[in-house]
Amino acid sequence: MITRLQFDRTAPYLLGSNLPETKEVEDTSYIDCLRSNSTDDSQDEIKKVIIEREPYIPSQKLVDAVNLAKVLGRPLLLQGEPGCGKTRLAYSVAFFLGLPLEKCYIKSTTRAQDLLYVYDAVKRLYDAQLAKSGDIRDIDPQKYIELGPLGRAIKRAQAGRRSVVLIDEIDKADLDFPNDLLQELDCFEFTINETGEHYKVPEKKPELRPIVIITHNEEKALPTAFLRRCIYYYLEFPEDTQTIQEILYAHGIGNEMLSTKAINTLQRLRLLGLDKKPGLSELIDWVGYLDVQRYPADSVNGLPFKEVLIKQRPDLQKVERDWKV
Amino acid sequence: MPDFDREIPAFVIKLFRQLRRYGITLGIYDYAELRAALCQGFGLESREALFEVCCLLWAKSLQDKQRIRDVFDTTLAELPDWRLPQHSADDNSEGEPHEADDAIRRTGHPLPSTAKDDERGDTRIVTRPVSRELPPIEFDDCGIRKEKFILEPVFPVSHREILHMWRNLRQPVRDGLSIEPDISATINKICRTGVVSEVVLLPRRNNIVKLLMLIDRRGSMSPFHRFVDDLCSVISTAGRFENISTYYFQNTPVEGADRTVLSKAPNTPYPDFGPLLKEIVPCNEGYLYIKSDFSELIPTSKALAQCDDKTAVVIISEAGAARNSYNLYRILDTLAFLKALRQHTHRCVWLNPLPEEYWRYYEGYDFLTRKNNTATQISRFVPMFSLEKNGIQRAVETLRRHYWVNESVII
Repeated sequence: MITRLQFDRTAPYLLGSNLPETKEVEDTSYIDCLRSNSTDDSQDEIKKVIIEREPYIPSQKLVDAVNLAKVLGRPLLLQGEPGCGKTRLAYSVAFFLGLPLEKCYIKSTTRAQDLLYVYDAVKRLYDAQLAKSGDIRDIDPQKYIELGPLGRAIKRAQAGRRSVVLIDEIDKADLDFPNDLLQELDCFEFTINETGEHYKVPEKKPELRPIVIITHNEEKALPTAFLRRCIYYYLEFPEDTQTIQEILYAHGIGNEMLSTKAINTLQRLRLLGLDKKPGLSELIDWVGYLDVQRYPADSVNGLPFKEVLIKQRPDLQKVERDWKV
Repeated sequence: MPDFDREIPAFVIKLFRQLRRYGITLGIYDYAELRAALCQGFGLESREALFEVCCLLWAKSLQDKQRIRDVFDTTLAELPDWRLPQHSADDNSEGEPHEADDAIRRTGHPLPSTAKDDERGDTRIVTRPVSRELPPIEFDDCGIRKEKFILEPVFPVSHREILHMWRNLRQPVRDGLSIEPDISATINKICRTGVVSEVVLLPRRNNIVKLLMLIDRRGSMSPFHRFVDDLCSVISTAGRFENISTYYFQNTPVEGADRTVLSKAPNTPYPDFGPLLKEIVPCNEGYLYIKSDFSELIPTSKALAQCDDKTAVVIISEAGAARNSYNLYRILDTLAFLKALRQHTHRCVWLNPLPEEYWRYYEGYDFLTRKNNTATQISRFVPMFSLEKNGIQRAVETLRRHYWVNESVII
């Protein structure tokens, strides 16, 4: 069990206001600076990239949840309807804190180890064959190791730089996947078995611990041992029109008349008892398109382009039957 | 180790104990987490903020959150007067500013003004107009508990146990995309050709068992609705089956089995169905319901057509044991259905929510204690188990064909 006495006291994540349009952060796609085994990378080796501000308006509760996770050094587990901004939170946190974002998009075939590193044994086998004929001399196992997103974040922390790690849709993976990650998420350390290299976030430096954000769509139940280590937050669909309006505004939809009508329509639609309720991302797409098309605000009630909002045939039939302009 | 030697506010302990009592699995480390969060300035602004922090740390689902809300409402009416102990200012390094100040700096909120302060400030004399309504009734003297009751469902089998048992029901077959390397085939290939070529890949093993759940609803099954729903939801979210379909029925899944066979039955009050079994005509007429509120229909024949030999069928019904009566038509319909089912799959079990003594047929008991009701007759022809831990386990074993029930033979 990890000691949890050390708290991260760096600047918290706050409700964004007066943020710059862009920020310069470390380029996660440029991994050469993480290749060398030395722990003191000089700054000039790090390549920077410009990222744009994430239009994201978190609630105060969500901000508190992020900060609690950050201070205690625990992963933040986000649940909620699809399209309510679970994934985008990671981008927002990364932008606000000016940290590089390591993204792990989980697939059904992803193994826990892939998040840390991938060892290309097959390539080494080929090279070993060729080495016999003298074409290739160096078959050092280190050459065949590619660090995964979480592995890079841990190694970066070892080198003294922090990152945000997004583990997206963890329930898509195999049932044992979360359990295989327990130790790594708890202590932020791992060993590459093939080379014996060991990476670890320095114990006395909680301010270097990667901020881990995990999203979960409730398709599979997560093991309790895993849940125990997470901070759990359920992202609700914002109830008040004002907040949704702000979110739309942040996404560049300035036509207040249109967005008010559209929000009212969406709220009514969500009360119809649809199987898949339209969420924020659908709303943003929909209003964005209506805005671009200069669609008259008064006719939004008639649900133009409802294909953006309703994604299932029974839902569509229900709307066609029950919707009153 | 987390630091346990600090001053621990009593209300947190009380809350912690109550939550443990109501089934939230919390350990000493979870407690230490909350302590740490409080020390870092989280959850100090108000009772609501404390609730939010408890949920963030301890709730792992929306149901958990609701449970914590209930416990909060009953045990912690208002945030007690509690300040951070002076000596707890430091955690990782020395010479840091006072932690409470730190908290203010961090969260932008001052520490809560305590309840006492509020009381002291509020010394105005309030005059109320005389009301014509009756005064409110005070329950203080009546000895009625003020706290609300928190009612928690306690089912005979926990989620974890259900999960464990049903996970055993699997029949892995390699199927789908080839993604797993086949080491021995690759080595063989290299040895045979002498050239390093592509790795031979195999499809992954997937569970090909399909599950068909047929659930009796309403009537004598009403008391078991919640438990059965709970069971079904756990199986459907956690079981790794290729496909799960759930249908509902009332009393029997089919209606209108050929009744002429009953004329051949011996003229006794409780005729034995054993000799008649061969004569019963399989029947798949009638309807099953897709929704538990009986709102959508599907013909039984159509539901059965989805079954093949990889389908495990689970019937959950009390089979008439609750009323302890002997209903000839119900037995006939059920047996006719089971015969129709056998034409598709042989893997079928019956889970009876009533304990075994309500329906198990014991040979040799004296007439008075021996059960002979509808369920007893049915249980002779289908593997029937009671819906509790042991029974479910044996049912799963039966579906895996690791356990065979001798007397349950249907021709």
